Amino acid sequence: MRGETSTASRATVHLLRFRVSGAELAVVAREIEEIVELSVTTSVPGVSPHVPGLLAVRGEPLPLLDLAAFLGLPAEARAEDRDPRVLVARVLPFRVGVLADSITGITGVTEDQLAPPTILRPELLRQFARAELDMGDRVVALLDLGRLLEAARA
Amino acid sequence: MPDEDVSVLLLPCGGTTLVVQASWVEAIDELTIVDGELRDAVALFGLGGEAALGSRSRRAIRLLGGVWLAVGHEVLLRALPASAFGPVPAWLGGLVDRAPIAALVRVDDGFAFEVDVARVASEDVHAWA
Repeated sequence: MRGETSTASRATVHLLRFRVSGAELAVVAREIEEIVELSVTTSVPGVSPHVPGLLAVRGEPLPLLDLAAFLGLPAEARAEDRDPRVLVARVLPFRVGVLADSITGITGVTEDQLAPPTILRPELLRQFARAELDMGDRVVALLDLGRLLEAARA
Repeated sequence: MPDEDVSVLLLPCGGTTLVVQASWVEAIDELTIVDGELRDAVALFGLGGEAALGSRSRRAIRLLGGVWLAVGHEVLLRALPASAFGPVPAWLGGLVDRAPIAALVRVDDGFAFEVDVARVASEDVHAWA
C-alpha cells in the first residue's frame, strides 16, 4: 500500500496558471476545453455582477464568470497591460467561460508539491481553493473549479 | 430538413433584447394610451430600471389573451431560422426560474431572450425581487 501511495503522489498533474486582479490562480488543465479571446458579449438580465454576460463561441452561448467580482479581488489590482482571455471550463453539467487578465503558463506538479490552502487571501479565495502551490517567489491558488462554478451559478 | 423561418419581434430593452414570436402578438401601441391589464418587462426581467430605457417613449405589445407587455421604444420585425432558438445554458438555469424566459435566441453576433408568453400572461408571474 505504501508503494501505491508513493506512486500516486508522484503522478504529474498539469495546472493552467492565470492572473486575475493581481492574484495568480490555477486550475487543473484537463478541466479547460480551450482558451479564446474576449470579444463582444451579450448582457444577461437580472444576474449578479460576477456574470458579465454571454459570449458566442462558434455560435454557441457561453456564460461568463468574472472571478475578480465573485471572489472579491481588488479591481484596482488589474494590470494595465493585461491580455484578457476566456478559459472555457467544462465541469459537468456546466460549461462556463472564466475571465482571466492573462495566462501565465502551465506547470506539471506532483501531489506532494501541493499544500493545504492556508495563507491565501481574501477568505473567499481560500474557501474555493483546493490547494496552494509554492512557486518560490509567490503562492498560486489551485481552484476547486467544480465547487466554485456551483456556488457562482446564476 | 429545411430550417424554417419564424417571424419575431425584437425588443431592445434596458441593455438586453427580448424576443416574442409574432404569432403571439395581437397589437402594438404607445404605452401611454394602452388600456387593460399591463405587465412591465423592466420589472419582470430585472432590466435595471427606467433609466436604462432612455427618454424615448415606450411601447407596449398586446399578447394573445389580452395582456399588455410594456417594452422599450424600438419594436423590430425579423425572420429568424428555427435553429436560432435554443436552451438557456445550464449554468444560468436560475434565470429561467426567476424570469419568464422560454429560450435563448441567436441574433446576429449575439443573443436575445425569448419571452415565455404563457408565464407573462399568467396571474402568478411576479416582478423581479
